[in-house]
Parts: sequence; structure tokens; C-alpha cells
Amino acid sequence: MNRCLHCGVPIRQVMKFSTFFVLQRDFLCGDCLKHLVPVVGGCCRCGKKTNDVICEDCLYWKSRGIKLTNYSMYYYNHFARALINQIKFMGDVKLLLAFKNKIHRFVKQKNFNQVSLVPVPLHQDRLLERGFNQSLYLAKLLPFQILDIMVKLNNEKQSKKSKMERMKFDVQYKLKNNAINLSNQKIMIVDDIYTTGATVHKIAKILVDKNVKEVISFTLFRS
Amino acid sequence: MLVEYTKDVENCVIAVIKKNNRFFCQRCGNIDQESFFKDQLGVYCRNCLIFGKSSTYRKICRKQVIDEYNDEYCLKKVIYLSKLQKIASYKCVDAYKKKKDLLIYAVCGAGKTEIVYEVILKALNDKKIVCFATPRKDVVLELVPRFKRDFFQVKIVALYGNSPDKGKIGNLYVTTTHQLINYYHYFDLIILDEVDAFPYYNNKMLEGFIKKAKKKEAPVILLTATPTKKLRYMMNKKLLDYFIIPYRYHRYPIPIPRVILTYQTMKKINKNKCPPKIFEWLMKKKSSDKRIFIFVPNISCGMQLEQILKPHINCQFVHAEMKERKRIINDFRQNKFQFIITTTILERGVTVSNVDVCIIGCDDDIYDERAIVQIVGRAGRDKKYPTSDVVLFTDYYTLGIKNAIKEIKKMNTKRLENE
Repeated sequence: MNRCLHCGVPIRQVMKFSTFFVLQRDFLCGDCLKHLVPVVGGCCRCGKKTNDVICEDCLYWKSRGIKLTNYSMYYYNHFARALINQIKFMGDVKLLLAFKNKIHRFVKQKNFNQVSLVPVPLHQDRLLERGFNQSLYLAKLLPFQILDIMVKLNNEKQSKKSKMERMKFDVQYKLKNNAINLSNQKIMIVDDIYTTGATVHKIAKILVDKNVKEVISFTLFRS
Repeated sequence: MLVEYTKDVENCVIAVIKKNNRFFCQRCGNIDQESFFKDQLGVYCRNCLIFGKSSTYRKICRKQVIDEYNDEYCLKKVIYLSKLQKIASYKCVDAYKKKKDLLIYAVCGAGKTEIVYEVILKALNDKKIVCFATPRKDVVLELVPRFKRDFFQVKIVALYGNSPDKGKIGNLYVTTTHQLINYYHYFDLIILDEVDAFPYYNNKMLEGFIKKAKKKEAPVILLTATPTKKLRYMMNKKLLDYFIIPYRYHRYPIPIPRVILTYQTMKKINKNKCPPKIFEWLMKKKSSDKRIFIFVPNISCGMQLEQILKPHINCQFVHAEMKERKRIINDFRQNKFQFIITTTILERGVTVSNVDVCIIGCDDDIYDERAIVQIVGRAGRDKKYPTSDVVLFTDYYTLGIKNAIKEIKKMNTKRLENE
């Protein structure tokens, strides 16, 4: 039987005309899907809920000279928090499959073309603990090629830090191979959640130093 | 690292293994291939994810536990049992000695808990470990103080989600069925209460936990008031020993529910109106000194009904997602308000004296035969107030209502035969 990946309720498949032609499977039930709020409008650079054209955090990043646009799919509410909890802390990576169709639709809508994906890396210890890198899995759902070129240096948790600590430009990430040629490439950084943007911008800075053409980022949730 | 307690030899095993080309979770006994999923390092089991990730790259450490015994266990005071209770109690001891499974089928309010006291003491005095398992946390919370009051010198461990007793060693374990995941070949006797209650019923994982937690030869004693189809089948085919207690400990019959037909109940309640027949009945009860259980099929209906009735009567609504649930039920017990509106969470294990019961919207799917029998079982449990009024408000007769009334009548006639 087909069950909701989050709450375990059996899903009743709605028969449509397209059901006869396309093999479709829902992964989340209607009640759960109702809680996901798609990102509409907001800050032009990161999608934050604000009345200004550009938000304060983005102004700060802009002053540091990094050009980046973030695309997020959903706002981070308490339901999203439960999902992230299930994925990252309980380790249920199958839940990410639920977003496959929606990501495809999102990519078509936004019309990204010819980008290379750089998933945010995970520290080796954390990988052994959790069993997977959720950003890499998210990148696998996107229809572009993946460049696994980054390494994380320390095993600190971003969620345990204050905002000021996060915004500092300390060295957390490194290129695996410093001689790699990335010039004239369009790069998309993939992560699960965008809070202040620190992680994404730290990686973007490394990439910008390598003369890439354009950096954008894709995140599932925007808080 | 996942930990399990055992009485066997201490060892470590890999949590998910491949057996005959199929994955098998050693923690929850899952073999459904659909619920395994591959991640970067290996394969993990989604079935028992809430208990910690069990996967091919993790190990279960089975720790050996050596327990402590006292010299002799006994009851603090003598408990008087009725004739049939005594026979049932003897049957339990017999089943324990012969290491056979036994089903005790007793009507609501027959005193099922007292029946097993003797077999528990017997097993404890043989230096065995006993487990009293039930699917519901409320039942654990209600039973532990009762056991502590009645048993002398017995170390009782209460296990439920977030319980402070986790990992402690004792003689008698009172647990929810979910907590048995941490035990492997551990108990010499398992008593399983409310076999047909919600999470346990039709749940293969929990059935597997029972098998895993007990020692290979250990007997299981099942207690229920409303056997499931599967159990009835096993009783008929004589695959399982059973014993029936058709009357309550005070020997009064179970009240037979009246059915009152109403018209479009749910629709009216959604429009903020109370159907007149229900309102009339409630007003009549308001002047009496009885307390009233009002069962509703879902949470939204209960909230609406609370709003409608608040100006007229002193009522409160409880449901499973409420944090103050325990406090409200306690207030109701202490007679702080007269009417309690509730979903099916209070269907089992709640004893309040001098009550009347009504079910609103009895035609809903969740009120099957077993649920109705359990709810009717809330009424007239006290010796002083053995009669009470039970009313089912429904739009039409369902199979569940018919069967439930038939079942109650059958048990009542059996009672007469016995006397």
C-alpha cells in the first residue's frame, strides 16, 4: 500500500485522465502537503518574507562583494521543521523523494539552463553518524550534473551558533583540488535550508575566487 | 550503537542483515522489502525509525542483565475475588506452569487486573521476570500506582515514552508495547492487556516485539473484553486456550444501550446547532447528580459541540493532542464539572463511578463493534451505582451497533446461565 512518508497514513490515489498514461506516485498525503507554503515574492535576492525590495542580510552580503541569487521552494514553518528533523536527525532520506516532482516543476518554471551543481559537503564524522549527505541527495533530484568538489574542514553545527558567529567569514570549506578549472561555468549551490545564508555565501566566495561566471543557490526551505 | 537488554549471552549483531537475498531488520523483525531504503553507506529500515536508525552499518549491542531478587513477594492486603475470577486466576497459574498461551475474555469491569495478581506472584517467587504490557500509555500510568499499592517488596519498573525508569532493573515491568523493542529474550512471562486496542491491533511490528522480548518458551497471557476476529477464529478452532467471564465482579448486568435515531447530526453540529433530541437528553441529565461521558467521532466535531453546549452546561473537551489531558480527566474524576466531551481516547481503562454515557454520531466508521462495547463498558462499573443510562445517537443503524448490542445481550444471558 502507498503510505505517506511523513505521517504513515494510506494515500488514496486520485484517478485522473493522466493516470492512464503516466506512472505517478504521491509520497505525501493531502493533509501534509497543505502545510507546505511555497515562496512567493519577498526579497529579490533571497526570497525572505519582507516588504523591502532587498533584505538587510542581503545588503550585508552585497557589501562584501558576492553576487548570488537564492531560489527557495518553501517557507520554513513548523511542519518544515518536522520534515527536516525526520530527514536529518532521524536519518530518513527517503522523505526527500517526496519533493522530486515538485523540484522538477520548479526547475522548469525558473528556466535554469546549463548549470553545474555543488552540494554543500558534510564532515566525514557526521557522514558516518548520519549515513548520507542530504544536500547530495537533493542535488541528485535535480536534472543537472553534480560536481563534488568541496570538503568541510570542521565538525561544527551551524544550527547551534548565533547569528553573529555565522556571519563571520571563517574558513569552513575548501576545494578538494585547488587546481580545478571552473572559469566560465554557471554554478548552483544546493542545500536543504537557507537561514542567514552564511553557508551558501562562504562557498560562493570560494567559487567566485575561481572565476566562475555566475553563482546561484537552490534551497528547499527558506526561514 | 543501539542497545538491547537480554538474559542470553552478551553479543553484538548487525542491525540489518541480508537473509536469502532479502533484507531483514533484527531490531523490529521487519521483512517488508518496501520499507527498506538505500542511503550512501548502506540500507536502513524505515519501520523502526522512531526508535533510532537501524541499518547495515550499525550494530545492536545486546547487554546481559543480571537481576536482583528478594526472598519473598506477597500482596499487602488480601484481595477478594469472585468465584469465576478465582477459576480464571487458577487457569492463569496453570497456563504458566504448562508454558501455554491463554486468553482471558472478560467483560468490561470484570476485574481483569486482579485475576493476574496470583500468577505474577507465583512467577516472581520462582525468580522469574514478568512483563505486563499494554498498548496504551494511559493504562500504564493508571496501573503503576495500583501495583505499587498492592504488591509488597516488588521492584516495579514503568516504561513508556520519556519515562524516568528507562534502563532500570526490576522484577515486574509495566510497559507499553513499543518499549519492548529494547528487550531481547528477556521475560519469562508476558501478560498482554487490551490486545485489541489501537496501536497493537493489526500491527505486525508490535506483535514481533512481543515475540522478540519473551524467552523462547515463555507463555503469553492475553486479556481482552472484545476479542478481534483473528482471536475469535483461534478460539473456535481451539488453537488457543481461553476462559470467559461473562459478568462483572458485582454481578449486575451490563447496561444495554438504547438507540435514538436523530436526523443529520453532523451537519447540524457543523452549523452550530445541537439536534433537539440530544439537547433534551442532556438537559434532563443536568438536574441529576450523575456525571456524563459524551463521545464524539472526531476532534473538530468535539470543539464545535463544546462551543454549542458551553452556555447551557458545565462541560470540557479532551482529545489526544491536548497537553492538559491528564489534569482535565483528574478534574472530572473529582467532580469539578459534570459533562466531559471526548474522542475515543477515553474508551478504555478509565474508571469513574456513577456515570451515564452517550455517543453522538454513532454511525461514524470509527465506532465499530469493539469500540461500542468498550464505551458501554464505562457505565455502571461501581458496586454502589450498578445501573446507568447508555444512549447511542445515530442517523441509522450500522452493523457495528447491531453486533455490539447482540454481543452485550449474549454476555448478559450467559451470566444468568452461570448463576
